[in-house]
Amino acid sequence: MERSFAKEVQSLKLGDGEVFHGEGILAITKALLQSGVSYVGGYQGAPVSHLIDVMADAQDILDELGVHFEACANEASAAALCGASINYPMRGAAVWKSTVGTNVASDALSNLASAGVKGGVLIVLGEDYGEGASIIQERSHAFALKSQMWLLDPRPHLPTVVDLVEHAFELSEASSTPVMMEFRIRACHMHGRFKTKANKAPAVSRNKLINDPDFDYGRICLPPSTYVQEQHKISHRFPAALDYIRRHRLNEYFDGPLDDVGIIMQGGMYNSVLRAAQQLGLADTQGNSKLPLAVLNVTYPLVPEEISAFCAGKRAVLVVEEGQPAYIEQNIESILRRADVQTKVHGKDVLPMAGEYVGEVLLNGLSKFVERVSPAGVDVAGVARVPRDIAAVKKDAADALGAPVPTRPPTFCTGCPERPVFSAIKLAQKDTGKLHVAADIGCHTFSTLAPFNIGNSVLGYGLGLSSAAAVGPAMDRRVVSIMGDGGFWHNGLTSGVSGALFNETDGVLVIMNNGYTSATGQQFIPSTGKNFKQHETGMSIRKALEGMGVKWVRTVTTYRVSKMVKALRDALTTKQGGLKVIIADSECQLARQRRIKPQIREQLKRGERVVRTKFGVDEDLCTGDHSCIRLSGCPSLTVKPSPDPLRADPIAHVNEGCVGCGLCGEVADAAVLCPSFYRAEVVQNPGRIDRFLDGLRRRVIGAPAP
Amino acid sequence: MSGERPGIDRPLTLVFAALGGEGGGLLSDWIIDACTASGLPVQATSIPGVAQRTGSTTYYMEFMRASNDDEPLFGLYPAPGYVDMAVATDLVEAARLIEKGYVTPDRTTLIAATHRVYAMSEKTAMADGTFHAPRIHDAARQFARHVVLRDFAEAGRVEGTMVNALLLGAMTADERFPVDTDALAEAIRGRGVAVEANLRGLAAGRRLAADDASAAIVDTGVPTPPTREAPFPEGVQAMVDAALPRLVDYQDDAYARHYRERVEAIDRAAGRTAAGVEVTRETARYLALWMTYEDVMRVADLKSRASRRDRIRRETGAKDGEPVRVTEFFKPGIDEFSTIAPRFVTRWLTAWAERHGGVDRFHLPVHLRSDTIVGHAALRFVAFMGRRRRRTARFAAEQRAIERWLDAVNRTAPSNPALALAIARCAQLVKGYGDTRIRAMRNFDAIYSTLIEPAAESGDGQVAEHIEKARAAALADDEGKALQAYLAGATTVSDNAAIQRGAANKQDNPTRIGGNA
Repeated sequence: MERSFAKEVQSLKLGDGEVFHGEGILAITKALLQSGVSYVGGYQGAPVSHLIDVMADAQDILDELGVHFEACANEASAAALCGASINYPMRGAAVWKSTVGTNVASDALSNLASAGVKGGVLIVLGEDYGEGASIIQERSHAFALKSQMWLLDPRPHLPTVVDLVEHAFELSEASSTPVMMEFRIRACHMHGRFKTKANKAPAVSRNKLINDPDFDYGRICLPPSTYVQEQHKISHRFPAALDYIRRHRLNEYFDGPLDDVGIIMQGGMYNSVLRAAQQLGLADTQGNSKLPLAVLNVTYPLVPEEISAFCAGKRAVLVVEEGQPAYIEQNIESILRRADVQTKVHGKDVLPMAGEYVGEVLLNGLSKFVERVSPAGVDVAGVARVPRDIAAVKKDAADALGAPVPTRPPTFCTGCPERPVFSAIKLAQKDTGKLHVAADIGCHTFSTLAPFNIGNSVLGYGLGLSSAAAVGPAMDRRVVSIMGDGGFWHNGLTSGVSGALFNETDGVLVIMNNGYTSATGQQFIPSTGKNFKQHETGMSIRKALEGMGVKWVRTVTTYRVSKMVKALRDALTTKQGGLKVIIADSECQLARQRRIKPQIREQLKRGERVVRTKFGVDEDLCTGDHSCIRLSGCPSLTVKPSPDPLRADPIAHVNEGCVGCGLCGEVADAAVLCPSFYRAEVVQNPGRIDRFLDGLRRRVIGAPAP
Repeated sequence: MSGERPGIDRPLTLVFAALGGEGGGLLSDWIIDACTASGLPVQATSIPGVAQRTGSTTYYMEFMRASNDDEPLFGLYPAPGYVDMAVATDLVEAARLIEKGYVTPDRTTLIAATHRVYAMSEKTAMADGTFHAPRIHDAARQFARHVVLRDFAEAGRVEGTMVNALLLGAMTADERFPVDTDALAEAIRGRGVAVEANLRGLAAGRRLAADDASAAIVDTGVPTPPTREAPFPEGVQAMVDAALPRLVDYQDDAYARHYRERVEAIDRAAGRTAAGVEVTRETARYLALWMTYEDVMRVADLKSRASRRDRIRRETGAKDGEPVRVTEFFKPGIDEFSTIAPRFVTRWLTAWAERHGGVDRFHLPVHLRSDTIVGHAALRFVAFMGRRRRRTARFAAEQRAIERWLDAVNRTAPSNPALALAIARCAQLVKGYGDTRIRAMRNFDAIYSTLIEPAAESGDGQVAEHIEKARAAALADDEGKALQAYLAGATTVSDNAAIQRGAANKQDNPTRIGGNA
């Protein structure tokens, strides 16, 4: 991390009865320490990167408590980390982005869940679902079902969340089962407060060492233990979990006057359901609902007695369950049938099967439910009017605006070192013809968007090269695979490179070496050069490749577009078979700017000579064709109305955001584009020679007009 | 629901739309800190996700204006029809809020910066793809309870601060906003980020919002022509006034006169009907641009002027006494040398190039320091060569193409102004440098030979529409795919014999005009 989280770290030190103010994910981090964890590990990814960033910066607290923090190579190793809790009474937590992270972790998770745990294990899942999500849309729920792990989905209210984190460890130990807790994006970034407790030093830790390793074949995942373990899940762990959930009232039930109907919801849905109820006049502003509510902070397992008790005597209930399949709705149906409770269950019939349950979706669903069941004493017509009015407003708005507002998907940052690589690929294709590009996960996935639209498939993090293995042999020209340095160390080195070498794959791999896992917030990786403790690592991508036996490796500075085009051409046309690797090398511009800006400010203060570079477009030369933008897409390369009354089309323009990376000039040059671009270097605190030359030039060329 | 007092009977809701990197996170931190310090209940959330990378992103907040013990229920999502304050850093982001139903007449104050950060689709269009701003201004007035549209970006430049601080100031101008400027100033100091600048922004934003005089005036374009005795109709005169100095500057008085005569000819042919005037105006526009086509000499000339040096100093914000070094990126090819070299050299060079794989394969990358004495001298020399522009092969070719185009407009203007206008507008395609210009010319030729020429002869009325569509198609993509597809379809409806002629004509007279300076 180039950034510092000192401020956040301070809030982890709060003691008994103090008040914490901050984001949900930071509250969870504090709750872990309050629960006496011995270890914490994970892999970064929105929306839970923050937990890892803060932990990495909190060494002093962790040392004092004896908590071990592991910056894991990927989610599989994060899950495996929890193996410590199989044999020893060590509480531990692992965190990652889900479902993608859970997919990577599931091998270790299955074995962990089968063996069972002595110390409590909590898996914190950043449920990256819906608006702002960066991954395929699936649910983590299925993992809980298949491996018999318990799944918590807390009501987004920090005191409740923190309380449930502590309960999660108790529950895990009471049922010797790992517990998963899912937090949606908005809950992770939700800013709130809660009363803190002092951090608890773990019973077993690097400060209190184990002197007697435990061996228990019953904990090994081999027959016959595995058979026993599966039986044990059903005969002991499941009932123990139900018992704990019931006794400690982990689920919340609220009464309401309209008790012939009710709503059963995932805890995470609570605020949004209540807001919809308010808009429909079915709840007051304090969140007192007229309909009785069952808030499931534990979505697996459900407690049959609780469900049937809530539904008993009700004509109908609405199940609010985000995403698909409708596991909870099905579960409730079967519980009610077994208990012979004849309550009608609504859910996916009035709410959409797929997609995020945003305010408007719930508003429409809830009003549909009311229309279907018309509860005694509700003005159904009045309720139905609300969504109709909103739909009308939106229609009028669309008409007034005349055209759909242009979408604004994410793109490469200003001066991003990855952008030039795709400019180069776009240019290289002019000779090589269209290429099949096996894309990967990372900032570079934005290459699939305008203006590049490069990348034919995305199969997963670090899997760019692997995903070309079958396409390559079937293609009349070489396939180009992309991989970020993050993906390379996450698994690309083993899954992709070793596989390609072993199978003698003839193809081209471009590795984006920008120094960090940039998309998740510039966390350090092995090839950054140092780890989060700021210790040297001495690991490099090139060394790794050569060690594995890659013969053809070129390192090219990404901003040199012409050189990159040449390297690509060579790799695509050389007689030499096998894997050709181009290391596209330049530091993440976000991280770079964050590092050098203060340095430059200092230099200027000290009166040292600093050259500031900015690119520009001559407004009287630009003809408004915008080819440059189509080859660059830099946010600071934009358009503005032409100052020339004769020109109808807007002209290209470089705004003040420019960091002088030089891509404009490189592209104009490599593409034989247009002479409108210029590079201007302002010499701040000029030296004697600078001033002399400048004076001379001004005199000869003619001083600027006043 | 209305009738309830927001922030007292129910939470006051605020949605803030920004682009990644515009300081939306810091803005919400300021508000949260201020509320917390004032003991007011507040909840905020956001969806950065990948949107942080310059994509559009939103921050959502709910507060109470009075502190009470039993905290109300706060929502996590903005809900249509339930937003009290909608704030945006960009006009189109404001439009997005309106589109989503977050701006409603019963409750919403809409505060937005009127400047534009253009979306990719608006920027990559080959002509003008920008969203029509006036519509957004109208929609804002139609849907908001109270509208505050100001040029906060410009104010930001003046105050040397970011837009987020100014918008924060503007929010405090709404009497329902829970915290005052003092509390926010404290919060800004507390966060310690560019404190002085942000405090200036806070104050300026509040002033700006309170001052209705600074409300954005919607500029619907249309330059007003100078009020002097004009031989041409108004719109045309404006064009000619803009064009003549440009032509003198480009070549000489004679060249400007030639332009004027060409326009007069069109004026006579098109007549003074509304339709006719429009034909003349558009022809005058594109004729001026085409006649002042950009070649090496023109580029060198424009790049070596004092006015340009001043502009660069302005744009880079260089202080007095700070030298500015300027590097130009040229990649001259055969075409460029031809424009300077004598004809026989050109012929020999071209022939040689053709033998060795085509004229456009040979380029000489030159990175020229135009601020140095030598660099400047070089530019002036090339600019000086402009005097013999009339003798260059490029000039002859361009004039041929211009005459061909003008002739088509002339012939059709009297009988069919709509067709003439369509033909005149086609010259919009003729722009760019190097490959771009060559491609543009190819498209223009294709439309000319397939549609314009046959129509000009047959006077076929409905072709006007085809030509307009073809022009749009030519601007749809780089490789001219859309155009090919369209022309293939369009030909079926027009007279085949004419197309034969057109095609034949295209073969024996290929206009290959290019030139990257």
